[in-house]
Amino acid sequence: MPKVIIDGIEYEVAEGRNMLEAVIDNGLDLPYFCWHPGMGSVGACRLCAVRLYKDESDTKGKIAMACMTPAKEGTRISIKDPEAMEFRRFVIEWLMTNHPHDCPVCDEGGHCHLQDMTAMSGHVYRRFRFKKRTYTNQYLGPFITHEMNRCIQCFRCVRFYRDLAGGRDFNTFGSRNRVYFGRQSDGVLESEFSGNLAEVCPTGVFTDKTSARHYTRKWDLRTAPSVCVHCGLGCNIIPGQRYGTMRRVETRFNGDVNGYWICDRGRFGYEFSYGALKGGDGDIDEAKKLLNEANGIVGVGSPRASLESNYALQKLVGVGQFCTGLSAFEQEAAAAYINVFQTGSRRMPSLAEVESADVVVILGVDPTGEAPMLDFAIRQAMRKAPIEIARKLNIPDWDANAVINALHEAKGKLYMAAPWSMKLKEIAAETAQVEPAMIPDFAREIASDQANGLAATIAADLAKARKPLIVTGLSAGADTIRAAADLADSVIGKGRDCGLFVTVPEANTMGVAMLGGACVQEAARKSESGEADTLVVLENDLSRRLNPSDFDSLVKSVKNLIVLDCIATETTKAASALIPVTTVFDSEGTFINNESRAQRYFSVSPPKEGLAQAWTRIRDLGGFTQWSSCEDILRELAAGKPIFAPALAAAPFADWRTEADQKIARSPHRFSGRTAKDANWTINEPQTANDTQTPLSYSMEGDQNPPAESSLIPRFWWPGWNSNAATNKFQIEVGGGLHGGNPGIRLLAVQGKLSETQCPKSPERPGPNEEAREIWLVPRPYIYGSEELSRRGRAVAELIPPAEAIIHPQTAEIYGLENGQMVEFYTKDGQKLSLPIRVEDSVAMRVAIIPVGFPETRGIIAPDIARIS
Amino acid sequence: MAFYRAHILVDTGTAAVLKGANALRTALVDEIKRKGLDKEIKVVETGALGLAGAVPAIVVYPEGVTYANVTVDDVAEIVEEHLLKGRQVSRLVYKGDTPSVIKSAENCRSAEMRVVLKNIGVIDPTSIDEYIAMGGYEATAKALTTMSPQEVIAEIKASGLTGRGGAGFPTGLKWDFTAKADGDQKYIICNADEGEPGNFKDRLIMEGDPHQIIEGMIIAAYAVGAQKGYIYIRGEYQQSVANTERALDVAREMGLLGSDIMGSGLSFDIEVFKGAGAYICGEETALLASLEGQRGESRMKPPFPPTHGLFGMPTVINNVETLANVPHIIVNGADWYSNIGTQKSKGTKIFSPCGDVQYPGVYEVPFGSTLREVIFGMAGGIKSGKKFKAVLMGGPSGVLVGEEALDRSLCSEDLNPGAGALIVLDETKCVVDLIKNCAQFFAHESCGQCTPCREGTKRMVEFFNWWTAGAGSEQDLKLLDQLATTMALTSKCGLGQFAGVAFKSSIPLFEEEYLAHLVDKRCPAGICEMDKVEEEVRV
Repeated sequence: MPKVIIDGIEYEVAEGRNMLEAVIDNGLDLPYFCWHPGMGSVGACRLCAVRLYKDESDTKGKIAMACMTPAKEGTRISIKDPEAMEFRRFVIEWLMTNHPHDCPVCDEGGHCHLQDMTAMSGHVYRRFRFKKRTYTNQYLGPFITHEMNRCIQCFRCVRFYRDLAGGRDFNTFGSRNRVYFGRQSDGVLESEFSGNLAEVCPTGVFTDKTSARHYTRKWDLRTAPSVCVHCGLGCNIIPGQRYGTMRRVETRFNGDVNGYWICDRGRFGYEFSYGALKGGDGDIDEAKKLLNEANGIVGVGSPRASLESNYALQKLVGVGQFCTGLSAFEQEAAAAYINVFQTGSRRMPSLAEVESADVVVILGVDPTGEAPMLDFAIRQAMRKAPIEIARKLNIPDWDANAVINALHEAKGKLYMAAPWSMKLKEIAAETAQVEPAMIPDFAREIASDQANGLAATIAADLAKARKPLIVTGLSAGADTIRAAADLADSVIGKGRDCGLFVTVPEANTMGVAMLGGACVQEAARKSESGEADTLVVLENDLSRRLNPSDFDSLVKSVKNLIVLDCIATETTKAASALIPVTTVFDSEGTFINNESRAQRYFSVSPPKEGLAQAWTRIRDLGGFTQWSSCEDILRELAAGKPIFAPALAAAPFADWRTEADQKIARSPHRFSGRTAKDANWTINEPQTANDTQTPLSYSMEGDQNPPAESSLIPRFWWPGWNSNAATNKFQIEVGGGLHGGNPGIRLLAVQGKLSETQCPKSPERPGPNEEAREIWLVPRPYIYGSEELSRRGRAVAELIPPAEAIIHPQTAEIYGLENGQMVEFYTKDGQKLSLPIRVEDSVAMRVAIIPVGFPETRGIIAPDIARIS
Repeated sequence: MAFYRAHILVDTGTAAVLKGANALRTALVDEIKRKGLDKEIKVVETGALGLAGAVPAIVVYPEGVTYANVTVDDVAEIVEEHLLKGRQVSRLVYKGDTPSVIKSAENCRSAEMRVVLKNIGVIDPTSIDEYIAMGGYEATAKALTTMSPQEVIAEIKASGLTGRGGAGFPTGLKWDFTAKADGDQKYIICNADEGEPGNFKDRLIMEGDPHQIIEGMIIAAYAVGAQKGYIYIRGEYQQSVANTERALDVAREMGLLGSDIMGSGLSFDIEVFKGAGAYICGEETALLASLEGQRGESRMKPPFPPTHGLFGMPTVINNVETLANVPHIIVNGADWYSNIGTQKSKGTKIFSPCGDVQYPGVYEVPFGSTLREVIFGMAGGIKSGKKFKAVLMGGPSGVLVGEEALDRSLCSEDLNPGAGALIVLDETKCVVDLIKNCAQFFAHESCGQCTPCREGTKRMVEFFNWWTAGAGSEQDLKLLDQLATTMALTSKCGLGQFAGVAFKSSIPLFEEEYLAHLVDKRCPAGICEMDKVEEEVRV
């Protein structure tokens, strides 16, 4: 490791760093704006100026930008050099000339990097007396507020949006001191990652519009470490609450999963919590009575409920009577995935590891719609794949613009085959729109020696890739997963380190799949056949998984329907006993993400107004008095099912304390209104809720500094670093992993030897018969609208596309359909679906693409053949 | 955004300002307002239009009519006739074919040595036959049929030819880097974005002898193995674009461009690309970005253009004058060339003295000639019998020198000539006003990427606005000096690094004049409106 000298003291730094990173890695402070650990250096803001000396004898040195200076052995700089300090103060003074100083009304105030850096640089006196430059702001959609007057022209936004997120509708406009960042004209930002602008912007140009509706300063937010519930990737988040309601969601850095970023569904989907069920105990007494009188009970679990709640339900109804809450299609695919996971030698990369792939083949899933951060990770992979070109020119990886310039148009190879054309097509080498049943065959053709055309091209690229990666998902079906595994094996057979990444639809799909049980269809059968007259449904809307007629007959046939949920659904409407439970933000538990990573999440606030967490309700229903906390359930589960045992280490238990024998404070040290914040409903000073369940406290009492346990970080905050940039104080090296390791523990292990062929041949499936006016009906996930919870949020709801059936122009011609025409589809099992037609050439022939999870397409989650009216 | 039926571009380059362009602009704005046309017609300030001998000049769009030598007295007529009645004022229309800066070779004075300019004013620039009759394309034939690419590079290296755009990088070395770089596609770019105010030498070459540039580019392409060339011409140079494009067409027809040129196996073609008027795009990496269709912003080096240039491919970027020298080196040999000039600066340099000289124009002299020879020997000294005061070397990004520098020689060892502009001031001019104009130019042209340049150039302008409005104070001089130093030390590219150079060099020479403005609130030359206290004045 090179040794550098900073202000006369020798420090060690990792290989290939720049001096700004060297300074921060070693716990020192140096202000900066345009550099970002996730985006590298460009040397634009000139704030990290230091004095750079040639060697020991050099007393003069020169002013240099730390972020553009490689940290080589013997590099000698001074941060405290008076001239460098003076220059940094100068830069801030320049930047401040036009800044509106509207901190009191600015949403960034209190977690503002500009405030921190101004204080750090020592600019205190304003000499500027001219008119400030002003701009016109733009409407950028329901997520982001634009206030250009605050801009300090660090160029981070445009670099994030264009270089990292691949957006094209946002840019730099104008020149000189009139530089403008925005869109060509007002309009909704097209990128699915636009919310990160609020975090990369060092000041308040881009702020969270949803949060502004019920704004709270960072110091007044109670926060806790949590995990995103809006897809199966398990991105780490920090939900913030005040007065017991959600105020905003920010990224919780996890170097193995989402890094510094989250998608817009994850950031803004939280608004569903405003429509959450209230009503205290609900019908708990009624439910107890019904359970006592029941003649056969079936429990339906949920992929959006915690592992602990699902296990509690399984225990309540008995293993044989437990159903995972997955549909038959999902269940089969999940089983295939778990089998594939445990029986091969393929790399099963984490989300962060996806970024190192250089050739990616996507089979039948749409990352953008289903697991948006995978879209982001693939973009990073494609961007970074040809990095060797830059390295050959001795350009360090962090020199962002030089790397872009050297790589130019070069990028990794992305191929995809799916029934529709997805957004990632814009960076793909080639794509194929194919019928759903043909995707496994396509994968098999790539793996075979007789590949032709596109399959041959893909095979050739995979065979010479450095880190090839096959991507598929549960929504592509079991056959595709098996075929994808076979393809990965064939590439490994050619000596390549091939990975397989499989998406799952919901936050705990893997948890319930690993817990095991029957599918939803089986639960419905048991109820209709009279085997059970009582159904206990945990956080699951059965109408999303059963087709409408099956759902109706289930509701009719079941005698007692006991439902626990945090939202009102078709299922809660039909409940004979409804028990409201807290949302994920007010619950503890464990989610198991798509790569089987067990991650704990913690409630932000204590349950209020009589509400309770789902596991406590089930405990009460079953009289399981041995469970005093969620952890007790996990312990019991781990003892009974060793596969879950590693999950115990995902986060410390309630008896954990810091070295100073403290818990971790959910409220920051500047939390205000402690005695009066509930004055709207009581004049008494309420006693602070005592959290006996977790190592965190609900108040500001406790440790405020970073715990050695990364899974317990409730917020990133550090003296002098009020913004999220404080993350660097929690990392081993800035931009790298967290102290104590990144949160989460993987449960499934790769076996390490080549497996038997999973799926030599797809089962014969007749395609649609054109003469009988048959067509493939293929559900497609959309980022906004397909996910059950987020679509209830106000901002997300604004962006839900209309429910339409998209067909190819030639298909339209064959069936005599026109754009905009209302068409009725009749599925094999007699369901009728009415949707308007949209004709587009972005889809495969003989398919109609319909949105999944929309009320208009309720119950259809697997591709099926339907007849057109 | 408001819609204007007409735009008037006012040349506010340094030379034009010295001849009253600011007063002209004000008069135009006032007159348009008086006629109630201010909602329909917009007056826009633009950089030098390259009409140094015919300024102040304006261009009226959408017609694109250029009026030259416009005075305040002409304003009423132009507004009334052209803008109101739609009739062009023919007596003022700039004809463009024979710019007044082009003088015939017969008038050439003894000290001038015309190498690059030898055909200018002698041949018809639209006729390739006349060019060939003067020995044109002999160099191309010699290089492509009798020399290997390595020999061409060796010859250029031996000649000591350096870049004429101002930075003076050895041309042969640049070619060598590109020749040795890997790449299926290589490019030759001729940088004809002559944006530095006061410079108009490249325009003259393009207008008067465009084939010379084409020839230089063909030879460069042969030497490095390039297939495609671009001539990046600033959009205001309409005549340059026209003449160059015509020359390219003719050359293509004659097989001098296209596939297998002269049976050498070289396939090479050239395209003209018009710049949109940003000064920064004259900087080579910003020029590349602009050519690629991106924002004109400078890029970090490395990677350097010779290995990673246009579209990431190896690229030679040479100034017009540099390329125009190439054919002469090939025909006459490196020895001949390296005997011209000084120890370190080989060959000739074209200067464009302008401002208060008797004969503003373009003059080619060997490196090492003195400033006095150019200004007094060729440009005829100061006009109207006034006294010499100072000269801005190379344009706003150069240094200001006074009388003591007149006998210094113009070469890289002594007084660096930059790109060749010599903006001359007579005794009646105000240095503060001149530097203010330079500051305005940089504040307008900063790309906005790095803080010191984006904010610093703006602050400089504000300081000068104070000073020329009678609101300065003595400490300001030190403050601005400090600001200029900081900008020079810390800006990302040359634009910001050189933005304060003219100011800094002017302080020791004209401190008294600054103090007159700052302390006595008086402009000795009577140019700055010291009593005009605007709203933007310090409190």
